[in-house]
Amino acid sequence: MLFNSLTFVLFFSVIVMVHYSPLAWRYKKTSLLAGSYLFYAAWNPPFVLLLLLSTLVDWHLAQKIHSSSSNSRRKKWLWLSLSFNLGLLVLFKYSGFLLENFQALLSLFNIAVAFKDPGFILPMGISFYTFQTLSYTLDVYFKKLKPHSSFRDYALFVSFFPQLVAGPIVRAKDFLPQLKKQNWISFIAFSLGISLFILGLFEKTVLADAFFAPMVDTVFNSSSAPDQLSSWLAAGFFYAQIFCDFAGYSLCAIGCALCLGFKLPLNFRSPMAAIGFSDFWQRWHISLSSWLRDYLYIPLGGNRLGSFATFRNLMITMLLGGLWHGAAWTFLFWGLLHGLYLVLERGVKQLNFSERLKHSYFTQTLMMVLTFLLVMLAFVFFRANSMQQALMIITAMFTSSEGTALLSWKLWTQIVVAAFIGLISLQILFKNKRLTDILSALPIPARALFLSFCLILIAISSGNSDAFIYFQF
Amino acid sequence: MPSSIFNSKTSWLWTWLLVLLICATSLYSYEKFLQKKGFIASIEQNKDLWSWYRSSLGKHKKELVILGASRSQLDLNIPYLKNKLNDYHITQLSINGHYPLYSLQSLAQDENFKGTVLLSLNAQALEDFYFDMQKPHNQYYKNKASYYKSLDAYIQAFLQSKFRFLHPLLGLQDLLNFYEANHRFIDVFYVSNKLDQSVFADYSKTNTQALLKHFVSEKEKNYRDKKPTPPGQWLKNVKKLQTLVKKIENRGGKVIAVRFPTDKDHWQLDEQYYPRSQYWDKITGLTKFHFKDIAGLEQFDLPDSSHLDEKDSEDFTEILIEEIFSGLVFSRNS
Repeated sequence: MLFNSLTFVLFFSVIVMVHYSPLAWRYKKTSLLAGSYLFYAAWNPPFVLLLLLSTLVDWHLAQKIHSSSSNSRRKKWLWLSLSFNLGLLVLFKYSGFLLENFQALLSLFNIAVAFKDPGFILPMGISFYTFQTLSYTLDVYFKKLKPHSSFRDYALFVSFFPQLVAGPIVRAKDFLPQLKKQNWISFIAFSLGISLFILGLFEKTVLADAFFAPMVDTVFNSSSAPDQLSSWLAAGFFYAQIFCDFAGYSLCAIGCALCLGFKLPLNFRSPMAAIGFSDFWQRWHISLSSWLRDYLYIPLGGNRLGSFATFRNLMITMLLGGLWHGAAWTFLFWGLLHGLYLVLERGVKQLNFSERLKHSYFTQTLMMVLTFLLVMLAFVFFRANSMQQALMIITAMFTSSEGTALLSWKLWTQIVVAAFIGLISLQILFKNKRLTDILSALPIPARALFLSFCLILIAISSGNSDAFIYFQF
Repeated sequence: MPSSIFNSKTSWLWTWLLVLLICATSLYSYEKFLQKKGFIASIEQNKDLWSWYRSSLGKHKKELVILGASRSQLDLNIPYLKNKLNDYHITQLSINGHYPLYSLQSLAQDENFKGTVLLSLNAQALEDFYFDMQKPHNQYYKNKASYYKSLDAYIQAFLQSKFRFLHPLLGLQDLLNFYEANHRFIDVFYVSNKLDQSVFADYSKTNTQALLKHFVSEKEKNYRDKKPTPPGQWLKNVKKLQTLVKKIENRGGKVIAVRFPTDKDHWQLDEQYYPRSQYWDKITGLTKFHFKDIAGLEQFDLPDSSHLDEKDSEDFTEILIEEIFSGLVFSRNS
């Protein structure tokens, strides 16, 4: 089910009514669980079985890990959990990609083998819920968490509908305690939840779908090489599109959860205003970057084993982070670029610059612009249909060679550019502020005008109601 | 001012009241503005909505499904049909610009379907290269559609059928692009899509001469690009049609083919490339009606040479249905 669908409004209304009815908490949790499975089944009913299987397997394996007395047995059960979860990902997400590249590799040695594409449908949100269940078994393995006593609560933690298909990736230690008793929220908190949902929907349907996506598609779906202006606009607009799409989804998820009395972690904090790449990753898809940090980078040794090992660990983490987004060389290259950015940044930080220079307004602004541009360049690979297309667009950005003017400088383009600049400016202006604080601090008429503006534009903008980009991951 | 003042329960209550007031006033004013300009509410036809209606087939004792392209969408008046044949479950499955043979095949293969098909047919529709035109809709219905997506499309279409400001062609980008090019608000549309997937056209809202010229020149180009198969060879496709019809009729269903009208230069072109005596008249094995054979159907003006104006669709449907009744295809309602 999509947040930007009318059926979701009906679905959510029923969920809220049941949630605030006089029923006992255990029945409400059961209804939330049933609702979450219904939410998932709306997309493709048979795949709820996969979700259930993933839930059951990790539930039992976590129990096994906890009850095993010897370390070797604990390790064995952990490996089983890792193999199962990563196996699911490989099967559904990467098998076609792996076979295709294995075939290409064999052809280099003149071995002609034709593998048939298995053609699996990618289950929606599989990357999110497998990471969520994995974090549970890993936390139990590292003795940060004891297995939960209620299977229903655990199943609800895995399938909780606001964040099921596109995050934020929630940790068991943060979510399961919230299921102990119902958190009756105030009208203010409920209002904030609804406001976040409206704002998220505005980012998705108006900014991402109606404003940025058509511009981006014009360039990336064309077989002609774009001219310089079109390639710069497409690269910048895609950065804005994916931000509005994904941050919009996260806001909807956080808003819905808040209306039901649950707190989900913040997933984006003005990433366009980041100064440096480690700052960027503390602001962009925070729940994934912290997951990769805690369960991959740190177990690999983090920055504790010297410069070389740190650089290696950064590269491995970012490459796998890139691959997490999709089975294509473009995603892998996107991860590679971010790994390189982080390694370079670490290298530069080790040089001895004076504190005054480091913190001067000029340096900070320069670093912000540089971070923005390099992140934007990396996103060209993320969006491109192939490495060749990405290189073609980047070449067009930096050469004044003849290309097709795929985007013209007409009124609509100017409005989209204004929205793009507005988006960046707001992130710089409210860089370290929470949206809930900003909304709470607004005077009543300003708040009402702002929310009305969002709602009216949602109603009258007829952008394609594309599925959220992150559903495919 | 401390934020607690703005963050009290009362302040949020006022916020939502103001939001309601602003949204309702703005959207109501915009709706009235569009109404005054002459706009009519219209829905977006898409594969999910089509699947919604397609999934309703095979569940009723008496059902009539309309297959075709734009002519069967614009010429047939579905509200009139529903009123006239009130014991029938009537479903409009025509798809603009797409000949319907693939959908007929899909219905023939659907063992649950035992109803009546009103098939908009002409000689060109039977060409091999046009057979698969409606395949994407049917494949989407079979492989990708879900109850949720169809329901969502239906709710969306229901709202679009009520409010002009939800018109799929009145998006912000459409409005601004038109304004930039013409320095005025977008012109009213002469075509409106209804919730039941029928289409109405008010040709008084458009330049019919330009439209006529456009339709005829496009048809001429189409006939030049897609040359007709010689009659002898073409008859093989009639056999294919007969097999599909037989499949439906063996289950107790019925297929009625109707050649909807074209006129002016359009009809001349039809006759030039697909002479009736060599093509249409050779179609056998199903009940068929040609507009030239039904008294009264030729009297209607087709402003663009291919479709009826909405003011004529009810009369046209009445004459056509009466003719079909007289052929004892349907049982007449008392």
